Amino acid sequence: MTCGQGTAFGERTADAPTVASLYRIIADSDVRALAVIGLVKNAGKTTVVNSLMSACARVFGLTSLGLDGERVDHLTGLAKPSVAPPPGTLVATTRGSLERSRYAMEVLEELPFHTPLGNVVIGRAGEDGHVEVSGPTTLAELRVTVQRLQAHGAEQVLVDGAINRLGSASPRVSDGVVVATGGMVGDTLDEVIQTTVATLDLLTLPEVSPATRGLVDDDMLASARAVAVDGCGGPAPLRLDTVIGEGVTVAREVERLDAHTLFIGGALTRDFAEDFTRVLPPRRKLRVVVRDATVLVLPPTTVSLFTRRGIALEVLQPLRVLALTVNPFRVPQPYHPKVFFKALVDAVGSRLPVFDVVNGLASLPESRARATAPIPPDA
Amino acid sequence: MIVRPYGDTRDDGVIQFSFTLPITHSPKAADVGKQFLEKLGFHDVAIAECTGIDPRFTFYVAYARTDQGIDPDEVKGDYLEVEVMDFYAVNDFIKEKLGRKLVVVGAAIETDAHTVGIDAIMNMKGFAGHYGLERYPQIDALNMGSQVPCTQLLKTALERNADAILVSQVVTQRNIHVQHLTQLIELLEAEGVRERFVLVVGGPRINNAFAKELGYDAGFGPRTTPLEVASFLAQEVVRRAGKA
Repeated sequence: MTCGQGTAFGERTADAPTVASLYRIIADSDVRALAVIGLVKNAGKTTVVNSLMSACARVFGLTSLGLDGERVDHLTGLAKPSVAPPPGTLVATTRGSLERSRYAMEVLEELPFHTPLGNVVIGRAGEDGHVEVSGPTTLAELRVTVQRLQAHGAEQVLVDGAINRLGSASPRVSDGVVVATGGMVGDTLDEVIQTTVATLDLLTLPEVSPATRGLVDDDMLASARAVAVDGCGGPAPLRLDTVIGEGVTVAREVERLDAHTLFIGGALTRDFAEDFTRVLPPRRKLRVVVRDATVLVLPPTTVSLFTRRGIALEVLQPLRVLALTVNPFRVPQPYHPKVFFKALVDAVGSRLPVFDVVNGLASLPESRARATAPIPPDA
Repeated sequence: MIVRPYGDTRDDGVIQFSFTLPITHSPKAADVGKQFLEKLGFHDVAIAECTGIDPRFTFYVAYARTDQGIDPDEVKGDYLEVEVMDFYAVNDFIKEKLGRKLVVVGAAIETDAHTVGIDAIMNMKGFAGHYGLERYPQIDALNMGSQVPCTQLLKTALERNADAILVSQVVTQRNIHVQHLTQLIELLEAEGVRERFVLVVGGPRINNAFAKELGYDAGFGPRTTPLEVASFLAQEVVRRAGKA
């Protein structure tokens, strides 16, 4: 692998050694489909994706759950980084985006995925030019798109996220995650740190132990929306079409069955978390297991509702969070890069590598356990 | 072909302006307005009206000429490609191709209390001379109103076995509104039901590309009529049904 010079995108240039350092973590991790998710718009997702592609000689596959590479953000009116994939990069975008960005690309395959911007196509990037990247709309389609990019020869697929969505980090789509945070996440630096830490806590929720996993068979997990396992070890599926809005009902069932483990099949929402933890008696020994971190559709700080009550929250499929990237950008005035970077490193630096690829700042945890996922061992 | 504004004759490039400057009206106010327009690159500026409308403000009406032109074919947008049918054609199309009523649930979600958009599209009386979706015999439309939580909207859509969910949202620069829109998508994905619905978002700052970015199937901006939405829904739901 030859990681060379940084490249220009928009008005900013990435720092080559920092990008190389971030790239090494990804290359060493054997992750083949990397999701770059942001906590907010303007967190720097696309800048990270761009710098990885441009600085490292590998055949990348590129797609996006959202829309990247348009000149100006539709909502904020702020300039967005343009996307200039190196020649040979496999790009999955939509017909409409190709037309809008007037990008000439050899189209290899048209996928049957409709989006508001036309069908998704896969092509090979030619010479210079800026392309607007907008992949499919749904996660199921995104998974197939990633597979097709790999089938066409992409050694490393990069999935740019959409706004603040965690979806592309789902194990259904990707097998590794880089999280981008930035000054726009909160009104104050404290708020930025609090939300960033809470999101990392959410994304790195521990995996269930094989013993717990074995309590319920796969068929029941796939069919029932909630399964409670009582003291005698018998799994009892709850008769519910969804647990959404049923926090009170589920808590009462857990109480009635004297369950020690609760498996939840769909989304876990804020309403559910609030009702469930309110109704359940305090200091109740309980383990709540969800599919993966992306089904937690709630403000990240809400996770503490469970942990504060001593309820263990675990996932069937953990996410591999490889690194955190930070971007001091903020409207009206950016943070001082070093101050912003240090504040985030102080908060999370012991857990995972932190990078500011534009300002050339990097922090690697002392353990240098970069090839392993930062997943705490199961208790 | 390059086109220019049409003032008195074709291609003369003359534009009419009306604007207000925060200056007290005085003998030189006309020149201030004239030079402002010249700064914008216009020439042959004629100030037709220059009036003090308040002790501190002056209002202008002016005419000026531009040399700029534009080739309409060069403008690439993100317009939804939908064949707009008339009211009867939409109903016939649904009846013929779908063989049942098309079920739509709509709401302004979470903190959004603006009902203007969703009402214009869904309510029977409609908007701009077009009936709303409730008036369509072949559309079973439920307008849930404003400040509807995403979870409630999803539950209702599931209960009614809806084909489409319409979300109306006034998106401001505050991130919160965008987050509500993405929250609904994340919720549908987490529940594993995203594919069951055609998701449409509408609002004053919504366009089609932004809808894509948010994870919706279509986006409708200002001045959208119920007919456009109905035409899109009918064609999209039938297309999906045909594929299944």
